[in-house]
Amino acid sequence: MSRHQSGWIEVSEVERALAALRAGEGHPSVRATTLNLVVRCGNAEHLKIANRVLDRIGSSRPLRAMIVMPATGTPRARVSSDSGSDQRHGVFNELVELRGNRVALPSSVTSLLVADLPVFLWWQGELPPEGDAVLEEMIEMTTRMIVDSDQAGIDAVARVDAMATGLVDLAWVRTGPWREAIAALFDGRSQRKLLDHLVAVEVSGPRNQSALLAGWLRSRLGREVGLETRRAVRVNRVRLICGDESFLVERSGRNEHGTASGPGLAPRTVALPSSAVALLLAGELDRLGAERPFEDALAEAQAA
Amino acid sequence: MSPRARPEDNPLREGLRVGGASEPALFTIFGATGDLAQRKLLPAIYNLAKRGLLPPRFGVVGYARTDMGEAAFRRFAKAAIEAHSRTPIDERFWPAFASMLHYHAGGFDDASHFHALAGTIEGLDEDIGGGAHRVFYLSTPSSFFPVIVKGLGAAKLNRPTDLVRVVIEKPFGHDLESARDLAETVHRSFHERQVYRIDHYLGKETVQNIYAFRFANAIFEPIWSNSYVDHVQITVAESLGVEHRAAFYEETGVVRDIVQNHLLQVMALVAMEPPAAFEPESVRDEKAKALRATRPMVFSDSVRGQYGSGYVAGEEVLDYHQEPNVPADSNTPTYIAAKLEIDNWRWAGTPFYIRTGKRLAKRVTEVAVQFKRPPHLPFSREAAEHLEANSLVLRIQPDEGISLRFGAKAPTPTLSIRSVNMDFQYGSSFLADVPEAYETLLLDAIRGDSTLFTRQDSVERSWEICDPLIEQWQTGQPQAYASGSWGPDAADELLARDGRRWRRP
Repeated sequence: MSRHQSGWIEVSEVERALAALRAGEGHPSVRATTLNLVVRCGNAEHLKIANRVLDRIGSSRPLRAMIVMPATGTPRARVSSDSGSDQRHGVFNELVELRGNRVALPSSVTSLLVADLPVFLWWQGELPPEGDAVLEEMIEMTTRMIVDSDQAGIDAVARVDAMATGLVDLAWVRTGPWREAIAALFDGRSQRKLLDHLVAVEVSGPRNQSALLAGWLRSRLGREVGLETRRAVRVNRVRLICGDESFLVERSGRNEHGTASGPGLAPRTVALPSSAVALLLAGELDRLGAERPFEDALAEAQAA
Repeated sequence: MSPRARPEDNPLREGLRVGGASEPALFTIFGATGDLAQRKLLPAIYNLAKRGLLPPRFGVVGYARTDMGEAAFRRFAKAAIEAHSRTPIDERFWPAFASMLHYHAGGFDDASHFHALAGTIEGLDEDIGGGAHRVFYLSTPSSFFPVIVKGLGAAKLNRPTDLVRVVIEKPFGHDLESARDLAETVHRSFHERQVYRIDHYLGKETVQNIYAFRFANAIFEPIWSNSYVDHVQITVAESLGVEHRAAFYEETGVVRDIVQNHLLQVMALVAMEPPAAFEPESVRDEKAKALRATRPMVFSDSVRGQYGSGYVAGEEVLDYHQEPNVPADSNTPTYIAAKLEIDNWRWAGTPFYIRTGKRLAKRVTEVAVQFKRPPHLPFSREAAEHLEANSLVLRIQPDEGISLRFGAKAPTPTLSIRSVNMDFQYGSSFLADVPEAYETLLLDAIRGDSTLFTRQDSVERSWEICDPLIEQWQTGQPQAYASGSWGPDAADELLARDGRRWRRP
């Protein structure tokens, strides 16, 4: 991978600087870009994470990324491009780092979006309070917004969900393998009958992911399902109580696999990967639009 | 077998993102120790499992004559996957995967072995909760197909019909009569809807992209006809020779090996009408209609060739007759170029030229749609003398993508129009790992989606198209062509007499 970087320049000079980088690297006149990714960073730690994540996903999804970080003064930019590992195809990614007055940042971003391609906004950390004009402007230009309720909280995410057309929560995405494993427990007819008696779920895991799992069950079944949470850094165990019977999905130690079992079912191995942020994010960049089951689960989780 | 509900009735499944199979399934491989199982099937199943696309309740039963136990089969499978998988073995994942692998030793012509297999499958079905879909993959020489399907039927492993599928590898016969005989034998045990005839070409992402390209874009379909298309060229070129497969190839030849299946299937995708829905019968109906409209190949519109010695990519290679196990007087064609005509409203008068062969200049598969020239060029002759007609090239392998050739003004003081290429490279926009064709097709078979599998009526029509030429080519000698070339000179003459020429891939 080769990366070339400019110094700090004015926003109006960014396109020219990127063109110069392309020419300097001998890239062909045809290039592939599939999306715009705007990454909002609130602090230096976010910046570090953003760079790490972009390094990992850049080689699989040709994109123009804009890392946006509030600072003082007129927005300035620093551009870089890297050709990843696929120089044969002339694939390379463009990175624009934007810093400046918070209220001036959305217009800078707008001016730098690659036309006609979807815009993903990854908002790291906490979300601003209701009525924040900058957030509203950013959402306005966004095709899909990616947040993390493990950082921002369920209520804030629910508030943004009402504003954004396609919102996804990384905490929800983390529960995906668990939802798959739980759903598969009820494919059989006799197990399906027991689902009608589901009254409560016990989750050992982060608070928001536990709330989303319970919200998902409530919204899918259309009725109340109690939640008991035991705090843990990642989901390790989910027990579904169906009357006198119970179903269990449990991680085996520190593994990325576990077992799923229940009445009438032999225990079986299930994949329960805890994916890194880069992988989760990369998966979300392949999707567009709203995800109804998430919206329903979020509404139920917030209402509880 | 315990009753099962449909997965779509499971309220928790709604909106789950998984694109894989959800219903429990047991996948039996006949010929589990063979070459195809080692190189393709076991690695494909492993990668599907790694990608989380297999059903949560799933098992593989290896069936072969080799006497070995389950542990030995798991070691065998691991070695095969290590050698041939596109992803390395994940040791943390392996124990979970290995637990899905089972083995049943047995012959193909003894009914008692099939009854024993039925017992094994029943036991595994019970272990995984019952109601499993059952896929039987015939990865054996085709001579065993009749006896295996008969054995499955006798052991009642063909039921229930909505859960059981049988996957058959090509060749589906060696001519129309044998294809019908095979179908009749298969249909004695299985309904046609249970039969999945696999052609791995149809599982390639870029072949499937032909559907997307044609039917998801409004700008191309209106010009996809004889009104705008001058002709179509389909090239399936291999740089390899027959290698160690001469005995097989001597029986087969280029028409049976490539044209009857891969090439005609690709042609049908290019020529078919838009299906009403992307679901099995709609798609396969339209492909069958395109093949029905295709005239059988004739001697006068075809050229056969046989490779001589030469150089391929700098390496000196042998004459076909010098390959091991090739008779000195062999007239087996290793190359064909032919003109196909499709008698329907869309394509009448627009020929499809096909060519395929071994030991050609490079390995490439592509479809080139050559458009007609503009009816009038308002430029001087000098300005447009280097302008070629528009062409659209769908590159299937190895450099997957789409190129559009059009005219543009060259930056010169006097008006000069040149042809330029706009190139879309599949790998540039979708850099994620592309699954192997077998992964796609095996998953479809497990899910019960037959869209990408070949239906018997298409198989029979393909033989009807090829048989007359195969018959005529029994006698006489093919023209020699130098290894590393694009085929015999007569192939160029075939197009030249229509005022056309082959593009250089």
